Amino acid sequence: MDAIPLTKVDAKIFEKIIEYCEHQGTPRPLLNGEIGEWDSEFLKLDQNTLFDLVLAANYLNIENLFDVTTQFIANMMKNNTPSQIRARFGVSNKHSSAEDRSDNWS
Amino acid sequence: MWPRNDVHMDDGSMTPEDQEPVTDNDMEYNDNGEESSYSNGSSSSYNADKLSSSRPLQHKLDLSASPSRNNDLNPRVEHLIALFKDLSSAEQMDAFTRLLQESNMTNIRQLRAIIEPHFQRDFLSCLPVELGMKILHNLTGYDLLKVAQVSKNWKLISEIDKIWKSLGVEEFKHHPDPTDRVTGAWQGTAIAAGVTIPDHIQPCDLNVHRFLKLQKFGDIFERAADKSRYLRADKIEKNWNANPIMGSAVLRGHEDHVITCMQIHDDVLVTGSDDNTLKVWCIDKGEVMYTLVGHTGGVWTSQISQCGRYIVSGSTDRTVKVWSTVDGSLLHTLQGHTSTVRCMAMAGSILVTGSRDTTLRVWDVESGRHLATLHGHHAAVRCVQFDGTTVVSGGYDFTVKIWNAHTGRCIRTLTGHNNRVYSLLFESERSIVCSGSLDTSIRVWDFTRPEGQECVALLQGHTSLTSGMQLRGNILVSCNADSHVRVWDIHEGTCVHMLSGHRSAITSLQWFGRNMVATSSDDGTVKLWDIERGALIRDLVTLDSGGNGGCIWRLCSTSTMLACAVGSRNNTEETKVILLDFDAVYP
Repeated sequence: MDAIPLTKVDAKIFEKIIEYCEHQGTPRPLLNGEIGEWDSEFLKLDQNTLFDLVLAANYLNIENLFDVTTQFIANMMKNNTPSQIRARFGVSNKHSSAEDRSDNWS
Repeated sequence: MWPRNDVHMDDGSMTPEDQEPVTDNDMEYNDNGEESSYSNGSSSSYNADKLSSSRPLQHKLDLSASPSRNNDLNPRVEHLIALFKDLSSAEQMDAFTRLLQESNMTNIRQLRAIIEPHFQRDFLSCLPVELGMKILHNLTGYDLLKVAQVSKNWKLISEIDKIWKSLGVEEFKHHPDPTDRVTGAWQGTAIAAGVTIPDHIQPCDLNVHRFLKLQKFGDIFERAADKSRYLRADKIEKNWNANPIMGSAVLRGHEDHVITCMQIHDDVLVTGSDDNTLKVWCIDKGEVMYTLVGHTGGVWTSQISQCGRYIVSGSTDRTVKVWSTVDGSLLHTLQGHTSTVRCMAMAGSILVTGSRDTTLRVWDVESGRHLATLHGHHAAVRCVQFDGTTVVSGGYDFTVKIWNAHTGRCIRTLTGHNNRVYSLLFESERSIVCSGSLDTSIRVWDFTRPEGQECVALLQGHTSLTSGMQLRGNILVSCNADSHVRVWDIHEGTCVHMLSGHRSAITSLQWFGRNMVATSSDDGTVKLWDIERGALIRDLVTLDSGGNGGCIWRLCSTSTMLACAVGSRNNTEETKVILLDFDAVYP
C-alpha cells in the first residue's frame, strides 16, 4: 500500500491525531461546553501545539477533535478579565485606555 | 465543520500583516555578559528540542540586539556555548537543568520572560478568521465583551455579527426601539410629597440624562449592531435590578375615583375607572390622548385587541363598548347582558365577556355582532380566558367551565374548589388551566383527561384568595390577598419559594424578563422580586400613606417601563398613574 503524503500536517501533530482517533469510540457531542476528562488531559498541551492541532483537525475534517479543541480554547477565555486573557495568550495590547473602556458600558 | 482552507503550516505567512513581532521592551538584560549568555544558550536549546514549529513567533525576540553580545564577546561564554552545541539533546537538557540550579532567582525570572512566549499563541490573531469565530461561538455575551477588550484584533473578530446572532439568549432581540420619555409628564418626576421612589436619580441630574437619551444609536450600533443590541438588553436588565431609576412620570386623571383596570399595548396605556370613563394615554409623550365617555356606570373590565385597533370595556351599566384607538370614537355598544359585565378576554376580533348575570357572551367587535350566549354557571362569572376557540370561565358558583365558543356548548365542568373562583390561567397548547379561589387553593387542571380526573395538582399554602397568576413552562407564580407571592412547580405540585415583604393584599403581578416579577399591593408599595433566587430585588414605589389607606390598585409593564395605578379608598392618596422608565439607548 502506497503511503499518502500529508504535506500540511507534521509528524508530531499527526501522532497526536492518531492517538485521539484510536481512543474515540462513538463520538460524543459536547454538552454545554463540558469537556470530558480524557479529552481534557489530552489537550493539556502548549498553545503552539494546540494551534497546530486546530488547523490539522480542520484540514483533515475530524469534526469531534475540532469541536473539542476549539471549545477547550474558548474555555481558557471564559470568566477572565481582559488583562488575564492577555497574559494567558501572550497578546500585546494596542488599545488606548479610552478604547479599553468603550465596552464597559453599564 | 468549517470549510477547509489552503493553510500553509510550513512557513510564517500565518501572521497577519498588522500583528508585528514584538520585542518585550520591559525586559532588562543583566549587565553581566556571562549570565545573559546562559539565557541565550538555554533559549536556543529549548527551542530546538521542544518546539516543532519553525515559524517566527509573534513575540520573536531580537536577541542579536544584546549589547554584550555585539560589543563585548566574552571568551569564556563563547567557549561554553561551543561546548554546549557539541552535546547531545539529552546532555544539553542535563546541563540546562544543572545550570538552572546554579542560577539566582533574578536570572530565572528573566529566563521565564524569554521562554514563556514560546508556549503562547495569540489564537484569534493567527488563526484564519472562520476558525477564530468557531472558538468565539463557544462564549457567552459576557465573555465576548471581555474578549473585545484584549486587543484590536480580538475586538474586530469578536464584533462579527454572526457571533452575536448565534447567542442562545433571545431576549435582547425583542426589545422595541429606544423611546423618548422626556416630554409631557416625563418632564417632571413621580417623586412627590408622600411618594418615595427608592434609587431614583436626583432630579437635578436628569437634564444630561434626558439629552443623552435622545442619542438613540451609538458608535457600537454602527459597527456591530447585534453586539449593541446585547449591550442594551444587558443595560435594561441592570436598570431594573440595580441602576438608579432614570425617569418617571405622573399621569393625573380619574380624580377621586378608583382605577379598576389598566392595560398596555405598545405605546398605548388604557385606564378604566368607576368614574364611568376610560382614558387613553400615550406613554412616550406622557400625555392623555382621549377620554372615552359613554358608559353610564363604572368600568370594571377592559381589553385592548391584539392588533391594537380596538379598546373594549365592560361596565356596571351592563353594556360592552367598543372604541377606536385611532381617534377614541365609540364604534359599537354591545347589549344583552342583564347585569354588570365583570370580565372579558379577546382573541383576534372575537370577544368573550363574563357577567354577574351568570352568562358569558361571544361577540365580533369589528361588526358588533353577538355570536353566542354561554349558559351554565349558577352564579356570577368572575374570570375568563379565551384562545379563539375554547373559553375557560371561573365563577362564584365555585366551578371552572370549558366551552366551545362557536357552538356555545359547555364541554367540561371542573369541580373541586370550595369557594369562589377569582383568577384563571389557560394555556391551550397543553390544555392546562390554573384556577385560584377564595378557598385559598390553586388547582391545576388538564381537561383532556377523563372526566372527574382533570385535577393534576392542588397547590396549597396561600391563606386567602389568589388575585393573579402567571405560568411559564412548569413554573407558576401567584399573588394573593394574604400578602405573599408564591412560586410553584406545577409538575411536582410543590411550592418552590414563598416571597414575603408586602404587608397586605397583593393586587397585581407581572412577570417579565427571565426571572423578574413585579407586584403591587394594598400596602402602598410596588416590589420587584427575583423568583429564581426567591428574594426581593428592591422596592420600586412606596407611598407614605401605605397602611393608612393609600394603595396600589393595578400594575402592568412592558420590558422597559412599569405603570402602577395609585389611589386610596378614603381620600388619603390622590388617584394617579405612576410611570417608571427602565429603557436604554443602543450604545
